[in-house]
Amino acid sequence: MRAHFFSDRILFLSYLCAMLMVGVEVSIGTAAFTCAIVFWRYGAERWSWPLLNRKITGVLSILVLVQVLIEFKTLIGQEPSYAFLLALSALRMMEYDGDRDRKFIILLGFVLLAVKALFTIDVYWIVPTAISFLGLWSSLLSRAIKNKSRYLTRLGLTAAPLAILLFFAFPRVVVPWAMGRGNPQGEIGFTDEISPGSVSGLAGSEKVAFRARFIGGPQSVSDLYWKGAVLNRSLGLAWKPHRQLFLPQAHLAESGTDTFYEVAIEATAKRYLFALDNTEFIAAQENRVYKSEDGEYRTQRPINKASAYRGFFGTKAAERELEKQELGTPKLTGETLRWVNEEKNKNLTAKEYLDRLQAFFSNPGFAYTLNPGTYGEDSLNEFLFKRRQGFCEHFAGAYATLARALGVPARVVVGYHGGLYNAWGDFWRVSQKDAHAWAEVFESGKWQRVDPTAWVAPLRLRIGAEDFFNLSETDRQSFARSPDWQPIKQQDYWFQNIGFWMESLNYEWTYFLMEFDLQAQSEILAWIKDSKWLVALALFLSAIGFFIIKALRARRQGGPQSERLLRKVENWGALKAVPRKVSETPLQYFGRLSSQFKDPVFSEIAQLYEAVVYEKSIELKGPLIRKLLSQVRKN
Amino acid sequence: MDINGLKFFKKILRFRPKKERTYILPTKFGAAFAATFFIIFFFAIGYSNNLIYLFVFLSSSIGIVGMWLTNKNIESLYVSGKESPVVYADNEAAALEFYLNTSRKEGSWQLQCQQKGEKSLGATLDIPEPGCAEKFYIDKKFSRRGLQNAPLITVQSDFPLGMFLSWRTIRPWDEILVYPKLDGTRTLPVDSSAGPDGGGLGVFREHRTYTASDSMNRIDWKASARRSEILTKYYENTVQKSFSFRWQQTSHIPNFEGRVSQLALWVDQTYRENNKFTLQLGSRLFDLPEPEQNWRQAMGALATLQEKDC
Repeated sequence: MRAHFFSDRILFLSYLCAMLMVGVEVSIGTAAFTCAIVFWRYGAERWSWPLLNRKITGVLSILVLVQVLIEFKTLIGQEPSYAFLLALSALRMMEYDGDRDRKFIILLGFVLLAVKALFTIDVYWIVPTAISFLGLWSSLLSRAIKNKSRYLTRLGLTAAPLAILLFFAFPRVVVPWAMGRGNPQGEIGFTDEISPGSVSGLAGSEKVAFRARFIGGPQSVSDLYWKGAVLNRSLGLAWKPHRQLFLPQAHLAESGTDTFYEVAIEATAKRYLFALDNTEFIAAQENRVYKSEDGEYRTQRPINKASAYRGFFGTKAAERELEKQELGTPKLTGETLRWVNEEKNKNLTAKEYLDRLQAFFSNPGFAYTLNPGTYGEDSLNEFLFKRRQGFCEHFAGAYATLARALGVPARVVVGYHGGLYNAWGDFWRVSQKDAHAWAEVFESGKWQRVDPTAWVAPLRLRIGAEDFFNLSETDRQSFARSPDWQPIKQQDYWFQNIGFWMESLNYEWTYFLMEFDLQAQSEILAWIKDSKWLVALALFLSAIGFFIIKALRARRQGGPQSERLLRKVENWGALKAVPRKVSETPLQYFGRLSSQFKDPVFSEIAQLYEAVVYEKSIELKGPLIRKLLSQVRKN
Repeated sequence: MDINGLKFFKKILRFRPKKERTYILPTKFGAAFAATFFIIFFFAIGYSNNLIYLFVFLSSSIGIVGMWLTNKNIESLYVSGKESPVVYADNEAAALEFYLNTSRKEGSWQLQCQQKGEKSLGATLDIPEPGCAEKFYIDKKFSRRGLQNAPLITVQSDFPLGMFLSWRTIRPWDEILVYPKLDGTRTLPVDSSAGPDGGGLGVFREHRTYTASDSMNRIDWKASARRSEILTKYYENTVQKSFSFRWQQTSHIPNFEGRVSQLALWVDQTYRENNKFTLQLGSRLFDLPEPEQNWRQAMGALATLQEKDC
C-alpha cells in the first residue's frame, strides 16, 4: 500500500484548499474529473480500492494536456492554465507515494497558488491563499520539528524584513509584453458598438466594471457619466464607431489641476478607458494613453488585466471642426422619413429641433424596459412608431439618428452611469448594471450631452441602476417617469455594512497592488531621501531594540556565552592533551583542570559557569570571557 | 602582542582552514523549487502583478532563511571530548565512536555522518540543545598497529526545509593510536606470578562496554538488551592479583608481531579482569598506580613498539 496522503492532514488540507481556489474557476468537466480522481484516491486509502499506476496517470496527464491544447490552443492564460494544473494536481495526488511525491505535491501546491494569484488579486482570496501557503510551508518543514507552527512563525518573521525590502525595492520594470497576456475575453462585457439588446444582457450582471474614488471634483450621481466609446456611424437604431488609426497621445497640461479621480478597472479586453466630462488628462500605468478628437481615452494595448489609472480634471479642450460624417444617417424610410420631412419643413433652428425631439421622446407612449423583444430589419420605424419599448441604447440610438436627420450633428456615447457609493472606503463601485448609453449633440459650438433616458425613465438615472433594476418590472414601468418616487429602502443590516467594509478593504488592497509601480517606488525613495534623519533614527532604534531583545533572551536561557567559554576551554584542554571526557560534566572538567594545572583561574571559571548556567544569577560578558581565556592560555 | 599580521587578517575574515569550512548546495528539490519560482517571477514581471511579486519574494526569503538555518545547523557543530578511541589492529572494522555537540541553542538536527570517500550514510541523529552531545559511530578497519591518521568524517544535514544540503568535514581526532591486535593464548605465562584464577568473581562493580578481548561469559545480556549495546560485568575482586609481563615471556612465538599481540592480549586481559600488572619492554617498565593509566601507557608502548626497543 502506498503512503497515506489523507492522513497527512496539514498537507492534504492546504493542497485541497489550493485546488479548490482554482477549481471554482474551471469548467464543470474539469472539476468533475478532478473530484473523481480525488475521491478515488480517498477510496483507495479508506476502502482499499485499487490505485491507478503511474503509467496510467502519465497517459492521463498527456491526454489532459492534449485536451487543453485542443480546446484553448494554448497553455498560457487563465482558463487553460487552471484546467491543466488542476487536473495534473489531482493525478499527482493519485500517484502520491513517499517523500519525493510529497515534495512534488508541495511544489505543485505553490504553483496552484501562484497561478490563482496571477489572475485574481481580490482580497477575498487572501485568507484561503494564506492558509494554504502556510500549510504547504509547514508540510515542508522537517519532521524533527515538534512545534511546527511556532517554528514557521519564527521563520516567517525572520524572512519578512527581506521580503518587504525586496517587494518595495525591486524595480517594477514594465516589459513591452506586460499587457499582452491575461484574459483576452475581459472580465466585463463592455463593447464599443450598440445594437438593440446589447446592454440588456449586462444589466443583469453583478460583476464590477471598475471602482472610482474622487480627490476633489464631482460626487453626485447625476455627474457620473463615465464616457467610454463614442459611436459616429449611425445604422438607425444601431451605432458603430469610426475606426481611427492614429490618435495623439494625451499630455498633462502645464496648468494641471489637483482634482482628479482614481479608477481601478477590471479587464475589458478593450482599449477604452472610462472618463468623466472635463477630464483633461489620464495617466495609466504600464500603458500609454491616447485621447481621440471625440474625447475618448484609449490605451496603447488592450486592458487584459485589472489596472489602475488617474483622470485629471481641467478646462475643456477646444472643439474640433465638424466632419461630414457626423450628419450621416442610413436611408430613412416609412413613418420615420415622413416625420423627419414634416419637421424639416417647419424650418426650425437646431435648438428648436432638439426641443421637438425632447417632446417626441417624452411622449408617454415610450416605455423603459429591459425586455423589449426583438426588433426586425426595420428596427427604427418599429421602435419609434409601433412598439416604443426599449432601454437606454434604443433611446440614445434613435434620438441621435433623428437629430442627424434634422440636421443637428449628433453621436452616441457608451459607457457607464452612476454607481454605488461605498461610504466606508469613500469610493464608487460601478458594475455592469450601470452600463449606459446616451447621446451628444453639437449645439452652440460644442458637443453637449443629451440623455433621452432621462425623459423616459428619470427614476433610472436618479436612484441608480442598482436600485432601479431591483424593482419589479411592474414597478419599473409604473414609476419610471416619477423622479420623486422613492423605493422602500431595506434596513441597514449589519451584514450589509460588513459587505461594504469588505468591498472597501478589497478596493484598498487591489488598488495598492495595481497602483504600486515604478513611480510609486520613486516617490517612496524620494520620501526616504527627504526624511533620512527619521529613517536613520528608526533604523537605529530598531537595531537597539533587536540587541536588547537578543540580550534579554540570552540572559533568560543561560546564553550562548557560557557555551562559548566551555568550548574554548575544551579546545584548549584538547591541545594540552587533557580532553574533556564524555562522562564529565563541565564542572568536573574544570575541577580536573584545576587540580592538574594548579591554576585558580579554572576554579574561577567553574564558579562563574555555575552561577551563569545553573543559578542564572549573573550574566557572562564578552570582555570577562576574553580575560579568563587569556589567563588560561598562560598555562 | 602575539598576533601577527596574517593571523590578524585571518581573524578579521573569520578564515577557516579549507577542511573545516561548511559547504552548502541546493538539493534536487531545492533546485526544482528555485526553477519554479524563477518562472513564476518572470510571470510576475510579465503580468506586472504585485501579488505575485509578494508571493515570490516572501517564498524566496523563507528559502534564503532556510538556507541560512541549514548552514548554521552544521556550522555550529563541534566534537565534544576528543578522547582517543580504543582501537585494536584487526581485519574486522572497528566502530569508532565520537561525540558531536552543538553551540547553537536551537540545537542541530537531522545529522548524518559518513566517512569521507564512502557512500553509506549513518543513522539520522539530533542534538536538541547544547550540551546534549550525541554519540556517532563510523566503522573503520585498521590492519596495523601504531599511530595512524584519523579518518575524516563528513557531517551533513538538509534541515529544516530539505531545500539545501549543508556539510562539513571534521576530524574528531588528530591521530589514532591503534593498539596491537589481541592474539595468542589467553593462558597467562607461568612466570608472571598469576594465580590459578586470574579473573575470579567478587562483588559486582560496574558494567563496561564490550570489547573484543572480553570473555563472552561476562556479557550481561539483560542489561545489554536494556541499553541497546553489549555490556559486560566487572567485579570487585576480593583479592587483587598482580602479574608481571616481559618481552622474553613470548620467546616461543616466532614472529615479532605475534609476540606483540600476545603481550597485548595478556595486558588487556589482566586489566579487564581488574588485576594489577607490570610490563617490562627493554629498559622501560610500566608500573603506574592508576590501573587505567598503566594500561593505556602499556598498550600505547606496545602499539608503537619496534624490534630495536626490545
